[in-house]
Amino acid sequence: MEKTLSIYWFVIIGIVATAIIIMVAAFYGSNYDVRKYENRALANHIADCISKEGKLQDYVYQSGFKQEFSDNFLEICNLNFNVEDTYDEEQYYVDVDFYAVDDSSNSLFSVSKGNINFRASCAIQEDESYKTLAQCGERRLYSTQGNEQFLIRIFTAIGKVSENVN
Amino acid sequence: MSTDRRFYSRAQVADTLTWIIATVVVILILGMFMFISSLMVKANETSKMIMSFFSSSKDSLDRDWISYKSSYAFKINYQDRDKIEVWLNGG
Repeated sequence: MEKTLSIYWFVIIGIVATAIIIMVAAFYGSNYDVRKYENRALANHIADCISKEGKLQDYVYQSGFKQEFSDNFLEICNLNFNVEDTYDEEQYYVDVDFYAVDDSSNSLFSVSKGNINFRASCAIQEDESYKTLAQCGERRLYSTQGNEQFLIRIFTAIGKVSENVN
Repeated sequence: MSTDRRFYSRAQVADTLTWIIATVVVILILGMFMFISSLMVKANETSKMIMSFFSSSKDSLDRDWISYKSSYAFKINYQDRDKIEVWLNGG
């Protein structure tokens, strides 16, 4: 009887341990979608690159917007969009628009880099967001240069679906 | 002697039944916990709630940081401040 009971207890301990392992694996094994926070971090980094202490950087604007900034945006802002070996295409998209205070619908200058296909994904998700599409974010910033005032819209989109969605 | 044997036999059946019921109860409780944990994983809102709970302080700090950047610009040039603030807030 004693022997049977000890075998029984081992079986019970085994069942409990297996159940705990399954529960922990189910909870922590699922992916967290951190693209919202990644979007935010990317936008903050770009904002830092564009404006410092309330003024547009000299490489962005000096009596006019510099085309060189648009051409070498990634290098100037220390951004590298080709960091994921898992994907064939770039998994990031960035669009920075500069507006005058009087006219916030027509941009004075624009910079866009990355995977332009994500733009369409973002347009689809205006009413409802879908996890399996790229996640988009928009941040707005105000900056100056001399007497000039600028409104800056930083639009970011991140794909990386397989890393963030189960 | 035969009465004793019957008595012990009944006692053994009762003991076994107790253990079987106890096992079933343990398995049921574990199943319930597994079901709840799978619901927590599936429920998007729960996950969001947990994430926002852990990241709420960072979010507010972040929001302050971006406002702080714009407020620096307002210190330099505060012309049309109301208009700009409406735009910054999504207007």
